Amino acid sequence: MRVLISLLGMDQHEVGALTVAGILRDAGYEVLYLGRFQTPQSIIRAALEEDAQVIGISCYSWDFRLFLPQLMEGLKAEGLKVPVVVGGGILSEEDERWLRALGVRGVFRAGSTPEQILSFFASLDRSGQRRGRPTR
Amino acid sequence: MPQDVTTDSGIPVKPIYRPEDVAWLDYGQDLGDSGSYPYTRGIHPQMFRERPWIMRVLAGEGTPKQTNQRLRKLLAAGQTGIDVIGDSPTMSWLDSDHPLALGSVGTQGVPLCCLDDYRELLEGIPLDGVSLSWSAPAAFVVAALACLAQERGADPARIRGSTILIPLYCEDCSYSNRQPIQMRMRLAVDTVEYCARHLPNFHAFVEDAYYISEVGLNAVEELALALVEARAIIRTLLAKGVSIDSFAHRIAFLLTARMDFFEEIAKYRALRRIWARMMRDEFGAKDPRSWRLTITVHTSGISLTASQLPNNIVRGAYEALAAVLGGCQAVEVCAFDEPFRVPTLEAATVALRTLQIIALETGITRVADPLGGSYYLEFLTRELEERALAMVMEIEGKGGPVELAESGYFANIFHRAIARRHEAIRNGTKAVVGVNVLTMSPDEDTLLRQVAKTRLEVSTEQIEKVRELRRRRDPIALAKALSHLEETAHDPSANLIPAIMEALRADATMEEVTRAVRSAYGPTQDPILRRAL
Repeated sequence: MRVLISLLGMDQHEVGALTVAGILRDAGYEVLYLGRFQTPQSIIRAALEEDAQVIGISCYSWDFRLFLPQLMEGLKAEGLKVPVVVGGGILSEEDERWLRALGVRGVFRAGSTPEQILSFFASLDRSGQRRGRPTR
Repeated sequence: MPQDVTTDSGIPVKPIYRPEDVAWLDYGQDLGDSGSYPYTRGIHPQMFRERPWIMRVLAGEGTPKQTNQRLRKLLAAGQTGIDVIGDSPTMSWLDSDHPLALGSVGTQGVPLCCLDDYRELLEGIPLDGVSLSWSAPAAFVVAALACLAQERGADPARIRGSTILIPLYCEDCSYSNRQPIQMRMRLAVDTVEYCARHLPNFHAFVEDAYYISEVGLNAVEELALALVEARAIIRTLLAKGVSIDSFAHRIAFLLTARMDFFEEIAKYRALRRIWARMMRDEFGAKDPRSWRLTITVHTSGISLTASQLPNNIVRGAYEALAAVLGGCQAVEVCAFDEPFRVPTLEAATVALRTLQIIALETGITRVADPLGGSYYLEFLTRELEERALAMVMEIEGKGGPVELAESGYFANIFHRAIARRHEAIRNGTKAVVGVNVLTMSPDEDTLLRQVAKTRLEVSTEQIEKVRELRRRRDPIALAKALSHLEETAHDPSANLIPAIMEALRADATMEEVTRAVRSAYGPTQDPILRRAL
């Protein structure tokens, strides 16, 4: 499964994103690390070009409050049915509810373990296989 | 409980240290009294009796006006210096109305993208009254302070404080601006040179090892990378013909304070010894002030946890204690809510009180270097000194630091540190209370959580202010100042700071100044936007 990992806007704290990218890579996932200074447009473009099957967004700032709704809207407009997963130590319970209401499939807050993350990705992988690869 | 037999940086440690472990120690050569070469025991003869360390906490949120209010409250609470951090656009040299900045203006620091921002931030705060410290782009800070001094009729020579100078590693850690590295080096060198002439009491060259340590570097790597960067800038200044004694005494190091208590104390002592010997014997400094290194400390943010928040107050206290026992000149405590946000006033006040309690209640300020002579501490001090110097030699043996930075050499060190720390927490070799040991269910873990969760909204007022500035300023004066700045940038022997001041006075923004300087260094497009859109 191809996983795209990205930060949004001015968020520059990459430690979490790089750590999760490493966990996924070690577990055999193909990780496309997009890194810092990304916008909804640049993420959607990369997801299309690289045929990403999951989009993972790392948050260590509040940029997601502005950019995440734009990302979800943009994906819908493109007809891209790629699940979006958001992780970050600063996310609160309210953020989790808000993100899920926007259609975000997985939310990982402070205290999430690598095992929880991997088992979530495994479940995405299984459901992806059942209904065929979620491409355009 | 597993027994740790190495320090955090991997130094093997015995169960007890005895006189023979420090048989090499020559008091005069290796330690000296505080205030004497090689300053291992501290840079002032009477240390904190003579000069208390500067007590401050980080501030920056909302608009410059709002941060000004915060600074006044902190000064009223007994803070002896101010410490300002720019918001994330500012740290990346972007204006508040940049398309990528719209989700973060004023949320993780204060926006500072034009002279008006500095004017509002420092209103009513005397430029020569308290120490002014900045985590913000150095050339802009210095140019803005010099402009304000002129406006207020204050003597720039009396401005005290410091600003971080981070040309080499900023791209690899959290202060990326994507500008050409040669241009970053030029701005760094010109800033130091300008201050040596015009702001002689301002530390324009704070070698910042803090933010790079926050990825998970150990103490040896922290010292070595800091020294590599500082030495690269020093060599560039010397090559420009600036004399070592004109700026060396205004270099300071900003270090972290981790939880490995004795190793951190040893680290500050080792660095002072390294510095004194390096300055005198390698760089030929003659003025004893050039041999004495000022060290400032910000306690570790990465050691704090998002769970069991009150524990972070305890961590900050131990880390600050290590900095004080290590003889540092300024200490900032990372506030307990920083896993979630820049500190609330409540959390910042606890951080300030932590320092004030150490100063007023513990009595450890009575005697200089009270742990000096401890067999264990002297052993650790030498180990850190030798290991850090060996790593500096290894790195410098691989090539020029600028080329190494561009080749991704340092990025690799940082990425390895991230992976190493994650693995140590995952496999339990590094205990972190509340994370991999002694955890608590979310229902129980509620104390102080409300404070940490209060959120800052993006400052639309600031974004509008910058847009309005663009409408109201005089376009002819602006164009003239920017074109003069461009010409200056194309002359490598000229100093950029006076031309930047001229541009700021014409209400140029940080991005416009950056663009003008960049014209001499290649890319004409906005390097961040080009990538994002």
